[in-house]
Amino acid sequence: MPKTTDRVALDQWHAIGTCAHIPLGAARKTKLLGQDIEIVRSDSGAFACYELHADGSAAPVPHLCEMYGFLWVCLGTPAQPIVAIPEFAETGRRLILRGVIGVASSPQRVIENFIDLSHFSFIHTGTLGGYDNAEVPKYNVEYREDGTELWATECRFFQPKASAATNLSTEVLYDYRIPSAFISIIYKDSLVRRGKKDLIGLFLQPVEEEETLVHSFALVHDETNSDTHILHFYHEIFGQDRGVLIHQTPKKLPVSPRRDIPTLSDASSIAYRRWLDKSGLQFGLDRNLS
Amino acid sequence: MGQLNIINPWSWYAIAASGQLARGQILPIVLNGTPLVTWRSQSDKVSVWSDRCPHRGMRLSLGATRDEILICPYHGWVFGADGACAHIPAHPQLTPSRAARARIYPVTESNGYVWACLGEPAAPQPIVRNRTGNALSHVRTMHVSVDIETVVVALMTRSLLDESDASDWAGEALEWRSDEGAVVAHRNGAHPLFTARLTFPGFLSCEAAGPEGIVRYSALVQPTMPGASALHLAVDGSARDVEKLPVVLNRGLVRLRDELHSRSHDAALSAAAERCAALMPDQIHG
Repeated sequence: MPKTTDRVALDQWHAIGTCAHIPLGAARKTKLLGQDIEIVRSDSGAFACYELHADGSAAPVPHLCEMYGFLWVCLGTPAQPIVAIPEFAETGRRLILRGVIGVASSPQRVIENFIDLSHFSFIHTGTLGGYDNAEVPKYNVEYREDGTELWATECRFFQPKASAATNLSTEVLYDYRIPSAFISIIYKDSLVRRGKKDLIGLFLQPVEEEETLVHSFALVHDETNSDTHILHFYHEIFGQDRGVLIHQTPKKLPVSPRRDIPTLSDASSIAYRRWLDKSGLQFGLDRNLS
Repeated sequence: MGQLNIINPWSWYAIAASGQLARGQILPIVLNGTPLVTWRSQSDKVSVWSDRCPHRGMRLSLGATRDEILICPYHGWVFGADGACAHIPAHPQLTPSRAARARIYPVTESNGYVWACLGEPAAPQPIVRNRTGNALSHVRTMHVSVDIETVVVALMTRSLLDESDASDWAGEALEWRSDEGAVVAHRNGAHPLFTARLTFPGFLSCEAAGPEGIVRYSALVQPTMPGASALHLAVDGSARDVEKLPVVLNRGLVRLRDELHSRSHDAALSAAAERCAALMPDQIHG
């Protein structure tokens, strides 16, 4: 597939990997929005990005930025700054970089699964939910930052094992933040530091409309477990989600309300689909009426 | 290929032998490019639905069954055998909307097979007419990477018991005729007896001379993905009557598959398809 013509998608910042993933003097190829690109790192550590064209030429990409330890690229003209996550600058949490996982589905299907609570009891049985407590209490949906961010707040769910740091079965409070079509961050009660939040985030790299690379991180309060142990906890959970994502059809996210039958606990997903519909975004969306 | 009209929305197609679908079992099936899920409840009710939960599009075939229900693995939505969602675990007190229902397809079970139709069936049951009126005993199911028209024509031009290399894939040595709403290819005289009757698009019934007498077998054909088919092979008669036959027929089936996959007979099969198409009634019911 060639580079997309979708201006809304092109004018966003997209994470394409961690800075540490490219050693000094090395280069890495990847694909963003249908466009082959290459990231080159000089011997002194500076990054440069190029669009690779079929005739062998390479066009420099001016909008390249390092933030939160990730490399961000914009193939158009950035319409918004990169999402602000002040918690990265705070102390007290451990940063776990969760690697890159490919998913043969649209980025929007990945986000919709990430913000959904009602699958916890069935897909993450024994950790994020259990068969005996599958009911999803009402939560809030709101827009912040002048309508540029979608939030689901006061979400609560009973979790047998909410994180690697705990075995305490308890109700946990969640806020979900969706600052752009391809980014979502969970703010979740820490069971180690009462009153504090752990963050779990996805920075999605839209490769093609039905192919996504998931870059993810966790900023968590945990004094007992190794990085590997924490990573295993999150990988098991994402592996379970991926097992659903690859079996959903259509792969692109339908936006018409006549497709897919929602229920009450899908309030955030309904808002996400409406928000995407109004944004003018085409990439990754299925706009058929039936 | 000549226009054989094997795939149409009013025909029944065998999708599984009854023994392949036990009580409480779920099978994913593809019929003419449509992903379907078939399952059997504890009370023996067989269902064929679109393999897609109406909630968020997850494959129902990866779910679970219990008693008379099917449970979607994603959010645990419970579907009754009528296809309607009866329970949503996220809201146990809620009566699910009537829009929350699986897309159901016509299904029937007869002659030892589960049959599905992608549209409105022309007949309430598939009209399985074999010469002896005996039951069909399932031998095996084979999947081939060849379109269903080619499979049907290949089965009509060559007996599965024919072990010779020299083969008339164009069916020129056969006498083709239309008889009682079926297309028949018949070989006799100096050659070993072989007759194949295409009674309706999904069903072929064959008689062939074997080393120990006349063998009667049936091929129930199912279009799967584009360019691919499933062939359910059955022997006419009870399993006891036909003890040795499955081995001999399976050998023939494997040979057929290998010949078809070699693609060396495409031109000859095209010629045979035209003969068959010329005799095909405009409407074959079944």
